Amino acid sequence: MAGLTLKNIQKIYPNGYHAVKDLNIDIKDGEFVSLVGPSGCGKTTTLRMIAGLESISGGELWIGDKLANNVAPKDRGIAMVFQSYALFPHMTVAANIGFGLKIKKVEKKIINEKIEWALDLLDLNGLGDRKPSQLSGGQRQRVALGRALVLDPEVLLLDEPLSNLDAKLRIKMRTELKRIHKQLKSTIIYVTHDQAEAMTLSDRIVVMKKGELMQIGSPSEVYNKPANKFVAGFIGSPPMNFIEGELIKDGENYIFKYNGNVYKLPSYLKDVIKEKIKGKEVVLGVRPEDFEISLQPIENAIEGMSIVTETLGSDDYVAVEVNKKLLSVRIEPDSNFPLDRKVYLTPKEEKFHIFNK
Amino acid sequence: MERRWNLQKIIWFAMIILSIFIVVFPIYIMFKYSISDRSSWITGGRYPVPWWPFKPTFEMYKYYLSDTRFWGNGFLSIKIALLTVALSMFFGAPAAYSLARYKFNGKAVLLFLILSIRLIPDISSVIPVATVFNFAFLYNLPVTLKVALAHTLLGLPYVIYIAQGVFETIPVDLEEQAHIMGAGKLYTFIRIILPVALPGLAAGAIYVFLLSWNEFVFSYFITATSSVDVLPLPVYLKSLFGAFTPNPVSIATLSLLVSLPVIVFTFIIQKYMVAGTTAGAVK
Ligand SMILES: Nc1ncnc2c1ncn2[C@@H]1O[C@H](COP(=O)(O)OP(=O)(O)OP(=O)(O)O)[C@@H](O)[C@H]1O
Ligand SMILES: [Mg+2]
Repeated sequence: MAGLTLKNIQKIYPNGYHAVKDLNIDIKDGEFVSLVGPSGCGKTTTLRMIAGLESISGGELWIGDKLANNVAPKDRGIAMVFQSYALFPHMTVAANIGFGLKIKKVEKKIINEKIEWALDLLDLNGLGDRKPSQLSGGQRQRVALGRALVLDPEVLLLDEPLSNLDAKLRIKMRTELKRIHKQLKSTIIYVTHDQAEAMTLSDRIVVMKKGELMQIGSPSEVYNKPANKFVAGFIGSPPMNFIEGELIKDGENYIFKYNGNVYKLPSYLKDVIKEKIKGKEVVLGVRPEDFEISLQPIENAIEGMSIVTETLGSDDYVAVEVNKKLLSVRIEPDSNFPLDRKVYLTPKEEKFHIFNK
Repeated sequence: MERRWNLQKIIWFAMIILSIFIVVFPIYIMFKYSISDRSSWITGGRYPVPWWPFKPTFEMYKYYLSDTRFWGNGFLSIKIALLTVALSMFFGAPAAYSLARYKFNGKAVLLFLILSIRLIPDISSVIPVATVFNFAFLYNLPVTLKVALAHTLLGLPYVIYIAQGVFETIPVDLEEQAHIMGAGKLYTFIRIILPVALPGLAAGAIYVFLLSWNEFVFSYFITATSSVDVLPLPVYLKSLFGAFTPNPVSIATLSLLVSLPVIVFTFIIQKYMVAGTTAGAVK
């Protein structure tokens, strides 16, 4: 097993496109780390540089205590599961799983044992003689995983392995992956653009945007203490509500002014503002579940109109129009919330986020 | 299930009948002529040519099949055709693979140039080729190899073009996956790429086999000085008739006999042509 360090990693493609900019990540041995970010932000590129399929344009890649920039992919102690599975269509499931071991000239008996072990672990018993075309999507995905696992990789790279499965299977495979990670304890780097997947699976999450690192942290850190507006908006579903406005100093504390209205900010925010905020233009962020909503007038509240309610199954939300924009607010389920009424919103204690515009 | 005859079905059915007819009718005509007795094809205009011979006879088949040179040269041609398939695959597949995988400027032009060799009529391109084959080191090669080499020249552009298309459809992911697991380039090509490409390559193989089996112009010039015991079948048959026009019975008989190896070869190769072998490779 091995940890992994990316030091100022850069990727500039031959066409001049700067896909990854100055990435610094320190991954501990046995950690499950997710790379998330919108499409095209450089997740696959980063993974392929770690695998050695793409050259590193700048910076250092350390695997364990070895500088790996110029180490051949097969000597890096990694295994990768491609976004596309990349199963060998003419080989049986067993041959697919045993392929890497056969190349490493492992004894036939041991190969067969390993194949059996993988089939068993991944719940593929009895499918060893099938061809990939005779498997379901989820089974193919597990074969691809098995092919990587039998190699006892120090680092396992997974590129959106669940992205093409249906919702039910995806959740099942999520649990499965977690179980496998617990059992094998290998370092896993997991690429996904599904933030919910990253939240449930990972020890830490790396959020990227346009090739740049936005934040690294545990799921609860990126959720509760997003480093910037991008992370705040990307993590969480339904997404965080944003209100744009400006800051006005009011003695010790601050007042938030938006579209002619004012809201007195709680005093615990003043340290955050001192530390992070530059200039007057700011964005307030509050998650849908962090609002208190009231039909009775409240002093110092954000006023709006309730427009529609919607349900996401377990939770109900009401859309509140503030400043010609809709904010989503979680409400009691089945509460039959009155619509077209004036409502008063107050963010819960310590659940206020403030960002530079 | 309800069976109903609507217009679409009738047209569909008619098309099938028509295609069968187009395929079967010439075979029927050839077979009829090949077993015709003299009075069934020379009618002198006194009565129409009958739909079936008056006295069917297999004389012409007996005549050709008892000719040891026909057998010998037939086998020579089969050997040439198989060797041509092997050679053009051996040289064509790797070339096609490089063309499919490596991006470089002017690739489209190069592909076109490779095919454009076949735009020149054989009868003019044969002269330089025959000249080359007169150089001592080529001249002394066995006939089989000499003709197969010439046919490879003709077959290569097609193999490269077809195989290039086949390789392009194979996802690069498969190779990268093998690469990460430690497989070398050659191992990956032989163990992963070729097997996956096989159905597509089989189509190319059938084409090249046919090309070699039917080829006359190059064979004729290259074997101009060879003994009549070692001539590719088309050249040998030409030598049989000399300046005379063969009668329809001979032509029909030979046509049918000569189609047989092609049919056999196609049947063998067809096994590999099961569609959709990349199914299940990538999602
Ligand atoms: N070979 C290449 N040459 C030039 N640019 C490339 C190349 N491969 C990828 N890119 C660009 O680099 C950027 C990052 O690509 P990458 O595949 O890493 O994105 P990703 O985060 O994995 O996205 P997705 O979620 O869609 O898979 C994209 O803008 C892409 O267009
Ligand atoms: Mg990607």
